[in-house]
Amino acid sequence: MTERSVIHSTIVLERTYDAVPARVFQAFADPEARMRWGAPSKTAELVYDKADFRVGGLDVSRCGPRGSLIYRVENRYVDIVPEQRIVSTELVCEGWDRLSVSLITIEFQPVGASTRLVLTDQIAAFGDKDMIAGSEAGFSAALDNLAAEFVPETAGA
Amino acid sequence: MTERSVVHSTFVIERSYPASPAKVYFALSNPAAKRRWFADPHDPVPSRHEMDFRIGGKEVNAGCPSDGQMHFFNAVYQDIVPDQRIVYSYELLFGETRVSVSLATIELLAEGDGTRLVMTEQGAFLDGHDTSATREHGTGELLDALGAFLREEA
Repeated sequence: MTERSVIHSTIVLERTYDAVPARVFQAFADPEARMRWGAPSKTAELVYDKADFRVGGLDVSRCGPRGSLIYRVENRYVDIVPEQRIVSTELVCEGWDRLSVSLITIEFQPVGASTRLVLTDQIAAFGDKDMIAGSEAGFSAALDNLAAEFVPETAGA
Repeated sequence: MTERSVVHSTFVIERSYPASPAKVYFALSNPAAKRRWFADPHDPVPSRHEMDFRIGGKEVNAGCPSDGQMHFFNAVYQDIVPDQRIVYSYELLFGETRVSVSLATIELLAEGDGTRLVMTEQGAFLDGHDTSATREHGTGELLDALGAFLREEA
């Protein structure tokens, strides 16, 4: 009897940002912005080789420790509702190995002048359960970094 | 303005078939074979079925069931391990309305002379157009149709 080889999980992350949904949405739509906040730490790097933010469009990026971008990520946009929702599939590879595929939903909801963001990552990991924890840690750190995009530039000046 | 919503869900369906994993895999991966069982029971002859079975390849199944509007199943194959695993993402559209986006994993496990199929479907159901329960029911019917096809071929 053969064994199952795919691990499924659902990760839900919620954040509230001090900006209206249009601004938070734009931080996802713009690959230049994503390169600023998308890397999980100062020692990690995220580079976009291709960015095509539209339904059916494909983003190709590489990420990993600075100088060693070992992961290749293909993100295909499936559903986009401006300022409200982005649904995409994300394939993570290392060399020729496919590590995981995710269905990712990002919802933006206005709360007064702020935005409540809910990211749902429905992931299928191939063989390595560490991909689940790794995916959650990566998205969680990136969403924390995103808050810095909305700090008023005059603050503390 | 349309009220936007997303409902996420996961369901798992299992079936046992009296055919080897290689035969079940063939029925899932060969376009001519798949066409014989992968059909809407309410619209058994799709107007269009295209299938490019390779990683990154697409499948389109378009038809016009009883509600009068075109239904589109648009899939992309994400991972393939012959005789063992097929992973694909798909969207379902009713007319121009996107009803859902899903990630489907099919695992084939040898069980005696037969195969246990485990299908895990992770779905995002958009704007209340369809439900996970309905999809689970329809997917179960398709896997029963696959079983009937495999028994005919045996």
